[in-house]
Amino acid sequence: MLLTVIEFVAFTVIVAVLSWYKTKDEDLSSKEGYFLAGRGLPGIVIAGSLMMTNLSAEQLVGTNGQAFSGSMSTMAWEATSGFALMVLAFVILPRFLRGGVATIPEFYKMRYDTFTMRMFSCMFLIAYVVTMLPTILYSGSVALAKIFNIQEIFGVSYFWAILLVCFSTGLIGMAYSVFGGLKAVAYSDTINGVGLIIGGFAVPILGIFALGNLAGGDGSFGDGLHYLLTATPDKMNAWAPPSSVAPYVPWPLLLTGMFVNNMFYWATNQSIIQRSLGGKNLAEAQKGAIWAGFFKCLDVFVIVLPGVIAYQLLTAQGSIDTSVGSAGDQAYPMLVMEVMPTLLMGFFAAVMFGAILSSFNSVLNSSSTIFALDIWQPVWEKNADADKTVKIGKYFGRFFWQCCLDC
Amino acid sequence: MLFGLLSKKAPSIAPKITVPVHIVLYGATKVIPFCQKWHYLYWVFFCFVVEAVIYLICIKVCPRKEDWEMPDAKVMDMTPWKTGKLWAVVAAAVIIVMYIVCSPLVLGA
Repeated sequence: MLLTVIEFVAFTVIVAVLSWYKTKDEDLSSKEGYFLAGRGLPGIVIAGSLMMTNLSAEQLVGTNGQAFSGSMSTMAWEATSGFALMVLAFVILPRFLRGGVATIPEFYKMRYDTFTMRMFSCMFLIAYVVTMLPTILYSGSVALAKIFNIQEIFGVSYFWAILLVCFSTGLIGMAYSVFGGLKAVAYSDTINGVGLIIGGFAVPILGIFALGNLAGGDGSFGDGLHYLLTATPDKMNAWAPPSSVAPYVPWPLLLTGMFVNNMFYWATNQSIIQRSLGGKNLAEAQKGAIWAGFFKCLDVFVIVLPGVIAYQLLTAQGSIDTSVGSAGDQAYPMLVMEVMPTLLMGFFAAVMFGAILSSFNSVLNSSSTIFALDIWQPVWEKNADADKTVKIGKYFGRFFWQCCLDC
Repeated sequence: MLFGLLSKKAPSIAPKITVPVHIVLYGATKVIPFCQKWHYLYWVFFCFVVEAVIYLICIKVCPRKEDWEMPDAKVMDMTPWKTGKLWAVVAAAVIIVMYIVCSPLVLGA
């Protein structure tokens, strides 16, 4: 267990030091520098940051859980994002970047009027602070606590385990967001992203080996893959009938309801679009969006397929009762504990922690952007330095209060 | 937002109507038992269609007097990504292939 903790701390510190080193000479005093990374992000950093903001620890548990209880149709949430990202790249970004827009509400002001802008700013802020931040923190902490059995490591109760993770994430997240601005957030995302790709792909690959053992034979990857693809064909089918309900996604929705949902998420969500607006030039911003579309397809192997593997492995072993409602949420943690070697647990924990941190950071950074540029500045006309202090206090109070409330 | 970008004539009254309408409509689908029988994304799409119609009516009834254009702030190089369209087609092809592989035709059989 000690090894796990040491690995965890080491990886987290390395990410922080690297991000700090990369961004230490940045000018954070201007609006462009702090909120839009000085408009200097290359395409691959945009794509990596988009992915890490999008991918959070609770999705590893939640989406895999849906695939476990439902089928591969869950992949609609991931794969079809590519279409919305194309609209973002070719329709929306050229217009936004031409106008030098920094926030979505700012656009509403240019296009409509101040009232519309205030209306949307308030809605965004309420959504971020009241629903997104606590959800990311709480469900992320639950996921971490479950997978790594934090209660036993530190010998504390469930309540304190959750609080511990919530609190440390919140604190580190705030340090990044407040002292480093978007650029530090984006770089730490990219490094964590590499870790998440390694850890995330290790789970299905190791899972397939485990299936190989299960299928008899010599336990090779090929045997496992064959078992995975042929044992439960209904689980591998991504086309759910039109009348099915969640966790299935009916096929007529793929280009209708899902597309509207994806457009809302990828094109009107400040925490997402802020990354693309920080691009070096139009071409780099477009590259970021399109590459993110490719990554979303790969995502299926990390956050949908393990659900199916867990279904096959755990039901065959008889170690999980699928009739229980919450079985889905336990599927991924159980699969990880089953297949992940102890040596890699600490590294994987750090990456998961990074994923929670990243989603939290992005939302926090976007909330402060909207608050400072669209509400505080126009209403009270203070300079940017004064805002920051006020914001920190406000958000910290809010966050801490929410956190306690949730637990 | 989409309409604000694509239409030169959409008036500022339109979002002020659609936002409350959306909250009420979508809220209603969460309460009415009949709506629970269908996947909630059907209702998301339904709201979108209703709001698009409201937008079109607003544009017909009270269009903006002068056309709206995004001002050119000249903050960056606006040359589009040359091979962007090609990569977009490749990305779309990957998505379609994934859906064919995970269909009753191949693995779901």
